[in-house]
Amino acid sequence: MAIGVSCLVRQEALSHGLSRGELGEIDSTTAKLEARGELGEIDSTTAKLEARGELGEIDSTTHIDTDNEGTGETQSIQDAATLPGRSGRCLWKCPAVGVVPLLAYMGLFFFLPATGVLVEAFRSNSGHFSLLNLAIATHGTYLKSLSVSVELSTLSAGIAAVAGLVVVVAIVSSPSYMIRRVSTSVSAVLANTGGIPLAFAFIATLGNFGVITKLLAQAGFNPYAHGFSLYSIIGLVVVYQYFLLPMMILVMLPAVQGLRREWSESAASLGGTRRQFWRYVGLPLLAPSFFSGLLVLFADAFAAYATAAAISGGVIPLVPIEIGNFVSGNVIANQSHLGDALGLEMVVMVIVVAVVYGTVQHRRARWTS
Amino acid sequence: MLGAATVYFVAPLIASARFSFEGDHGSLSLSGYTSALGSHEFWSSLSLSVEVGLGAVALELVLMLGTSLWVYLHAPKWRLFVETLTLVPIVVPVVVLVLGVSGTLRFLPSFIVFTPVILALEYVVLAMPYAYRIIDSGVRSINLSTMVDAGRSLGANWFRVIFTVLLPNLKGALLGAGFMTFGLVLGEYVMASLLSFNTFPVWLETVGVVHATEAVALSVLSLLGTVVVLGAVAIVGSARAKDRLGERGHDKAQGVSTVPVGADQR
Repeated sequence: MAIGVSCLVRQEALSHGLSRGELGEIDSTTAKLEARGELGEIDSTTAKLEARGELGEIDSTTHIDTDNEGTGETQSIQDAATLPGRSGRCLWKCPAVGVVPLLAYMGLFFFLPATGVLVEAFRSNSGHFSLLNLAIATHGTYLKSLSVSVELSTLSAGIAAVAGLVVVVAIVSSPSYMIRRVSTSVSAVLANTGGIPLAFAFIATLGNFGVITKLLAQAGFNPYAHGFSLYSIIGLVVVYQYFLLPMMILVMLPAVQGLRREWSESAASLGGTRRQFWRYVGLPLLAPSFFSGLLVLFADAFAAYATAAAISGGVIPLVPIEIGNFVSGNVIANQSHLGDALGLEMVVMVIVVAVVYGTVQHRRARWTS
Repeated sequence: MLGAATVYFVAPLIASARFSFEGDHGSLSLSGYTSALGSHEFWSSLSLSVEVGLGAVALELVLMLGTSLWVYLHAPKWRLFVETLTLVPIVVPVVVLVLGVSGTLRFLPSFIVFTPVILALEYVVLAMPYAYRIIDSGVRSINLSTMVDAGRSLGANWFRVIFTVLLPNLKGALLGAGFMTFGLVLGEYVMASLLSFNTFPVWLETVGVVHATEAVALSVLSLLGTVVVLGAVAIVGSARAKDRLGERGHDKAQGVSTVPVGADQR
């Protein structure tokens, strides 16, 4: 805002052909006036100024002035204008300089390790280029763990997405204002749970000796006698709902709330039934949000490690747990780069999901804008 | 439907609370809590987590605030680039990043790689996508350039402008990002366990193998802690939004303060 206003003043000053001393004055006047909220006066000040200096000089003054902002420079504008020239200035004043710490940090602690995985994935034990690791990672037991991972994430994301949509519709159509208000906050909190504490909470609830398991067994229905086990894929699906469902609610709530009542009313006034409204208006409008929510849940479930590790103790073969075994060294020594290949596999998977997500978001933006 | 969902979400909390009070022969007892809280390792692992957390928070806030202010005031053309850059860590799952850290970063001095320092440094990366967004939206919501111009024209140097003008105005965003980062560090299991550092979640997992009651008792406390901290952040956020923007700003501020960051803890 202030930059905008001072630029405006500067432009007028330029058109009036000002000398540099006066330009400096205006700038500080502008800032002071703005601080007091007396913007109206600036225009009259500018108008009174005389046309004197050469345009070329002023141009360079304004340039240096803008560069000065944000550098910790305490010199006045006049001083800056007397600097010899451009040489040596870019080191401190070029806009890229302030981004360097972030770039360096990310480079060292993120991009270097990440590229390391990428490169090592294509390296044989002797250090040469090889596709062997990737071949092993996509066959046999590792293919099996990939398919178990995909199965687990698809199942838990699918269930959470559908259940989430139903819950959201129930929340939105609920007459109670409190329910609508509280559900967002509660979902936001629950979407942040997970990991070891959640795993133990479920072991205490539905584990072998869990409280609910005992209650059900006393009532004559032992879930473990009917094919259920917390320490299986189905068990993990049940546990994952605890954070996936709230995430879906967070994604879908704004979308469902955004369905305007006018739309269903106009559909009704044109003779459409409730069913036709959902078939031709409601669901197509919700589809992009639903689909992008589904992708977020899938990626989240796919990358989950701690919950699965604590519940299954590493018995269920999942890609993240296999990778963990490589890091902690519970593997045969001559396969040191196999972990990297599995890591690459996972990143590729997440990137595919992210690209599809981006496309879906793009479509959604077209609808809602 | 809402009823069924409520039962699903409340039952594990009640059941694990009941489980944690389990004494001998089905009696009620506090022994799970007393023995867990009385254990030396509980305090040492928790204090390690807190130290790593404070380090990560400090580094995160300085790096993110500095970059965000610079980009806003001085390099607006770089905004899209920085936004994208800070978002990239989402694409790489933590377990893959650990793989790279343990393989590629060996060349760093050993007081970094073989001490919990590396954890703090990497947690800054993990929290970055969320922290940058919280801080950047804080920076953009105040009339920053007016404040800077006014402060500078009244004769304050940059140091003074930052400490007496900008930081007090950005308190909400900094608190939000700080709590978020701290919470992430306290709950993070994957990286700490694979790099063999005995932080709180790692210790909790090992306790669970032997003493189920203690582990569940601590899990209950830890889940309650999450709820309390997030609730506090949401309340601070919404109270500030009311001060600043009136009722309309409420939902927006809440959205900012409650970004789901759990993904890195699972």
